[in-house]
Amino acid sequence: MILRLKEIRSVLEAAQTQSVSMRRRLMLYLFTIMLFFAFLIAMLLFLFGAIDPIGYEIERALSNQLENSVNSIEHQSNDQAAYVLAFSQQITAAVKDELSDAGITFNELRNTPDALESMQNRLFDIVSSNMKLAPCSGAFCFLKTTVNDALPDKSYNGLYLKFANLYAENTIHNDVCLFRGFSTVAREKNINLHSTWQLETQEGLFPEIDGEMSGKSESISGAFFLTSVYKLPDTWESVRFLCIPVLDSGGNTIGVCGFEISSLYFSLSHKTMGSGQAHIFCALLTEDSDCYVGQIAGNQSGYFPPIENSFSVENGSSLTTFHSGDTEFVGKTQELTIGTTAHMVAAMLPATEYQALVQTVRLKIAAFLFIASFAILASILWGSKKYVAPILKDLEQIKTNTDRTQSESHVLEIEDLFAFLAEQDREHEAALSALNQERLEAESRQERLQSKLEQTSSDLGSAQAEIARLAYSRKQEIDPDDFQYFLEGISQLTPTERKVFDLYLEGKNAKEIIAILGVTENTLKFHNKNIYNKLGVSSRKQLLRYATLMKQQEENDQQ
Amino acid sequence: MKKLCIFFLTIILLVGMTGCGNKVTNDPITLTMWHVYGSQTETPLNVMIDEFNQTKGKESGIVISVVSVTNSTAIDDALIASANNEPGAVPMPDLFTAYPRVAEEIGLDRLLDWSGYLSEEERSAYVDEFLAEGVIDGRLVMLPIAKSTELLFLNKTIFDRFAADTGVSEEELLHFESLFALCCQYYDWSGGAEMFQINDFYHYFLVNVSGLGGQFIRNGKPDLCSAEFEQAYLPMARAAIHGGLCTGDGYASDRWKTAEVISNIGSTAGMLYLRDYVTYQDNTTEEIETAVYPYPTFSDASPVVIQRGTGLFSMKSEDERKNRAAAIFGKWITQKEHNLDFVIASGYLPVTENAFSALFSNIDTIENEKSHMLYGAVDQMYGSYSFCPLPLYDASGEAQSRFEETAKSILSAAHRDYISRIERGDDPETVMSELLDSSLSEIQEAVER
Repeated sequence: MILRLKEIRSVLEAAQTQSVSMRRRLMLYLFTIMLFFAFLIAMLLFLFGAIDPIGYEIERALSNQLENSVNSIEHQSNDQAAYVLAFSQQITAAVKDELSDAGITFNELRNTPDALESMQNRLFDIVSSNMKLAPCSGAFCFLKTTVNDALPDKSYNGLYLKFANLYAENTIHNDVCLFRGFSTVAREKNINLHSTWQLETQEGLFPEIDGEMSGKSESISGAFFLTSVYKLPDTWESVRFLCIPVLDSGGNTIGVCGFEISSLYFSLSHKTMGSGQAHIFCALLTEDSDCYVGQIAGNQSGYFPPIENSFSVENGSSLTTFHSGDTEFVGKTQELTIGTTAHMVAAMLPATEYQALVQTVRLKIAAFLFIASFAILASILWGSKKYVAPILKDLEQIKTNTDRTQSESHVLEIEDLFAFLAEQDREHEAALSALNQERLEAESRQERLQSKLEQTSSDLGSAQAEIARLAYSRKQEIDPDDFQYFLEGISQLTPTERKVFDLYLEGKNAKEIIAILGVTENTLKFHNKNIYNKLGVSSRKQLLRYATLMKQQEENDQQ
Repeated sequence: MKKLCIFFLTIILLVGMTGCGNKVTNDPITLTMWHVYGSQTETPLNVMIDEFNQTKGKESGIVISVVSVTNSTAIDDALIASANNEPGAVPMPDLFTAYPRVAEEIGLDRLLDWSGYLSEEERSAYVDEFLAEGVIDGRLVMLPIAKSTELLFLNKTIFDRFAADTGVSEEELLHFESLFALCCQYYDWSGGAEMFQINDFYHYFLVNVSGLGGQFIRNGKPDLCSAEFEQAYLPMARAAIHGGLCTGDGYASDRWKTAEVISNIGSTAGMLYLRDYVTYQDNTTEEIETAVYPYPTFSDASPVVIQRGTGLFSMKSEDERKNRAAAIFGKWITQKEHNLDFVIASGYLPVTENAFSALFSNIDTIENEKSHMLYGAVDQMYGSYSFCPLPLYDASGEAQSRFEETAKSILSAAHRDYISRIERGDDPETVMSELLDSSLSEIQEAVER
């Protein structure tokens, strides 16, 4: 990732340093801006809770379902607990009355079928009415006695009634059948035997009830508990019991009564609402060795998960994973204590479905990003093309069209540029024309000067010849003192006088010197007079003679 | 550029179709089901449904979710309550098994017509009579998945003790005249226990009136005034009034558990509920041997036996996928190998011609002894018995249950009257004669009302 970022950075840097076309640069900027804003919007939406992390929706549905299921199970358990307390008290009173009427003790019930049958007949209405009142699939009252303790398999006598043909949580229309108890009681009460009826309940079948039978309780208040899940032998049913001890007047446990909550009843009572496409279901689980066993309530759609007997549970950071056989589920859990026993409520859904839902969300996001990116890219491509096209066209015009005044543009800045360039063109043309004129004039002047130069050169040659002749002829005539005075006088000349003197030496006449120095004739005469005085000459002719002599002398000195 | 656009648009379209839909593509169709196979015991149909869910269901994205397992009487009430949205009723299941008698009450137009989902070849695979039973107003609303008939079951262990003491024989069980006489004899021998139970008196009269040449259902209601009805009624009523023929509620399998009855005529599927032991009042148990016999007949009657069995109904759904899913399940459960597995485990008869012939040509290969006896007895009846389906008429279900309750109630009262009058010292034969007449009249009047 870091490498990839570095690569992008180097590309951007390269783009900045290298020559990049205007359109490409525009695209890059636009893309960067859009990316930045998309990121900013996403972050803001995320911060303000407008968008959720992947899987959050499912987790929220699981949390909601868990809360609903816990409430529903807790509410039902509270109802059952209230009924079971009264149930136990009614049984205690009925047993006491029956023993009193029969004139026997509780222990004398043992091995006495008639007395036990009579006891069951008395208890039947209590069991039956409590079963119909409480939210349950059955009710029982086991007594710590048996009809035949000579049998090898120890068992409890007592009544265990169940609703037959359960198909709804509402049991008001259901027939009652006898699951455990005397068949004669069933005949007396005009109910049928359960298909797997037995006369007594075998010890060891429900270990938690066995344990309660051998215990001693001072008070039944708060002594109720929800058992683990048991498979009823020879049936397709699994059940839990909400139990409470039945005490005699001495506080000794003489039995256990309570309600049956079959897995079917649990499922019918606590069906989950589901969430969209998710097959969320709930379970009431109880720890059993290394795993959890429990009851499952399917979903309103009819979905019921393929579950084996037990779950292994792995707690994760936000979700718990459940394994049942080869099937994996994910969900959320909450502890729930019912009476004296701890249980766990779970809301879950198949892991494959969770993964499919998460995958769908991911796919949706990917599709969204893909479509958005595509739209952005297409917009940038189109926009940059549309934006740059007139500029490129105008630039092309600039390259090809020499007449700026004819150039047109829809871009204001380029229109201004055209106007500016046209003005520049005009100025350049004027300058060029002036230069040409100047050149022509210079050429003509050059021609004139050339001819003049040639004339002057010719004159100069003649003059030099004359000077040489004069110098030669006058050399003998020149007074050396005067000449010395002349030479010393040169240093006395002012700069202007010297210029004039030099111009005379160059062969310029008075008219030319006036023109060159831009002075009047009088000024020149004034300068001449001063020069003559300082050099001790009386005429221009004498001056030139001494000057020529001086030049010759200098040339001779140099040689 | 254009090609690029087309490429991207195609990708977007594909993504939209595959990923952005609201449905999870592997979302299975769940069909809820109520059925009557197994009641409270471990049910073979649930085992088959598990197999379907793990195999064909998984492959086709169908889950059958069994919500309730009940019996054929209770399911009628529950279905009608749900169909009529009665207070406290729950939503109708997608699939249910029931007798055709509920179809009218639920509403034929609410039920799926299976024929729309069966090819000619598939239809022809079913036993014609079984398929015909599910056709109402030209619509195949009930798909046969298992059929049954009635047989006589006997707790041979106790009967043998009775026979040893009294010299009676099992052959006397084969004809109703001698069978009812045995009931009286057993009652006396056992000190007041009942020997025999007829699970369904309505069925008894339906087939025996027919066997005697009469017609039990006439003009859309039971006809109790025919000579044939009287001929079937009197020996039966004599056993009931004397004692020995049970007139209590519930199935015979109930009293079988405690040896309160030792024989009964009932559905072949009743075998599932007949234990191999009986439990006595002191919680001791005794292992017993069970014998199975063909349905008894009257000596001078043609042998007729009921053809019974619930079938599979599906609620017609607006979601066509549900209808197709129901059809897939219906076809799967009636495929030869699945149907044989199911019916043999539950004591029913298969519903397709090839499964039927496969079962009855290989009876000796059936390992379970009770099943072997069961299909052996059925095999004896095929060819010699006429099979009579339950007639369907207006409110036939209600008429059937009313007849059942009336007959049992009147005969029970007559039995109690008989016992008390005998105890008072009245002449048994005179009392019997009076009670036979009075009970017949009462039943006729009650049903006529």
